Amino acid sequence: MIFQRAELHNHTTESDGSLSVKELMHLADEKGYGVLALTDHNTCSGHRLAEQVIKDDGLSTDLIRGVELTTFYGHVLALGMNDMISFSDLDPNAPEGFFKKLRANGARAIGFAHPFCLGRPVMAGCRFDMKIHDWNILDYIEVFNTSSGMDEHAEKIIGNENALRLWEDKVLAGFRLAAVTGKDIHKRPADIPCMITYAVLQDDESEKNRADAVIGAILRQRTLVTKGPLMWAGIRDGKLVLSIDNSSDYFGWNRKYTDVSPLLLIRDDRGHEMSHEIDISEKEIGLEIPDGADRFVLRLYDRDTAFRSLLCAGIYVERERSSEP
Amino acid sequence: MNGYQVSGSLMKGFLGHISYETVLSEENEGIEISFSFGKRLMENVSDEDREAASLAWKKNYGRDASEEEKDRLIGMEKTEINLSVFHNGAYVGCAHRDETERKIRISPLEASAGFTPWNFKGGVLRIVLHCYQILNDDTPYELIVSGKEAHR
Repeated sequence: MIFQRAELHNHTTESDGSLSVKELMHLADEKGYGVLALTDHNTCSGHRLAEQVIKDDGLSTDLIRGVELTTFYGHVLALGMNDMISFSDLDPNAPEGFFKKLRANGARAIGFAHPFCLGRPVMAGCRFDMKIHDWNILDYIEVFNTSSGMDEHAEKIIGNENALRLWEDKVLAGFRLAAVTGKDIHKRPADIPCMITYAVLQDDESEKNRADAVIGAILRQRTLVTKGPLMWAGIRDGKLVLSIDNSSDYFGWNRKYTDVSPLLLIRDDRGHEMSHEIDISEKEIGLEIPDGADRFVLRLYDRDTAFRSLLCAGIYVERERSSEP
Repeated sequence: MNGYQVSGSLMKGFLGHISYETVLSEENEGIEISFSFGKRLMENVSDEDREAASLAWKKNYGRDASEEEKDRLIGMEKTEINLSVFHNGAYVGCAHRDETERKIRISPLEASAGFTPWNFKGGVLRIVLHCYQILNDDTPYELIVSGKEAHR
């Protein structure tokens, strides 16, 4: 199992960012993003330049071609898009046809960005305001947008808590959605310990193009959002088995993980919520789960279950998937 | 193409796309676009405007905004119009920036930020104004488009 970092929501001077494509690609390399999606507003004009910069400057970042379709009724991230399409015909009361058109034009993974952001008239178009009749048309939800920081006011403006809850409700209802974060880079981001995305790859995926592997992980719901701990879970012999990796040096996690008081919260599709104090230094932990429940979402907190205390989330497990970890 | 200039006035609250289409000559290869609009910030704030801002706030904060907070919210609001360019149905790019004036040049060899280099030889040029939010009545806008023929 390989944890691959990815930054999936980023802008440049090709739309309303202040970093040039070259500056963004070098930032990604300097910060070790590994995989970066270029998702300028309503344009794909930076893709070729980004690929040229990677090649000419010998950068180790893999690029996902993407776009943020900035509509009147919410922002839609489409990964794998090579060419932008018109969004004038988007009907917010029946948007599924528009999403199908995105796929027909190359989108491999489609997600909502900051769905609970402060909306019109204060931030016109930023809040997701479409009526989705079939959630299977989507692949992921940006459950943490960290563009405004992680303080309480920023959280209220962007609505991450509601976004995470929406993702959990939908996957527990059986929809195949991944959870991801977005720095939503418009300028050089502040160095703060915010939630970031990791894709959980199989060992044999390490030789593939990492950008393709990350999109594949999104499509298979194998992503997590974290401030440091790398975790994944599966069902084995009727128990939920949690795998933990504390090797990440993201804001010194590999040194400070022994100082936290980890509290694991498991929610299932029968409405149960279970909390467990766990020893995070263990590489593998087995936990009892209720009979009858098939789907589970996990959150890891430090000390208490306040949203600001969240360390890791976005992990989905279902009983049928018994081979991992 | 000899170029054209259009202008108009938008009402407060208009939400929609405005499309301009024209046929390009066979000798044409590049285009230049100049677009501008006015009245970016709200000029006459009504009680309804303050309540609308407060309602948006309440959805996230779970409480009514104070008068001071309403002032701050109104200050965050802006008129926003962006612009996309199509040629024979293909999306050439978008000028999506918080600016009231845009100058765009697109030719087969180079293009302004947000656009890909493109040869506009013949066919139909479509320019779409995306009006995300209009905060004031009589909001003026102007679009000037001119073609550039290939050097011979």
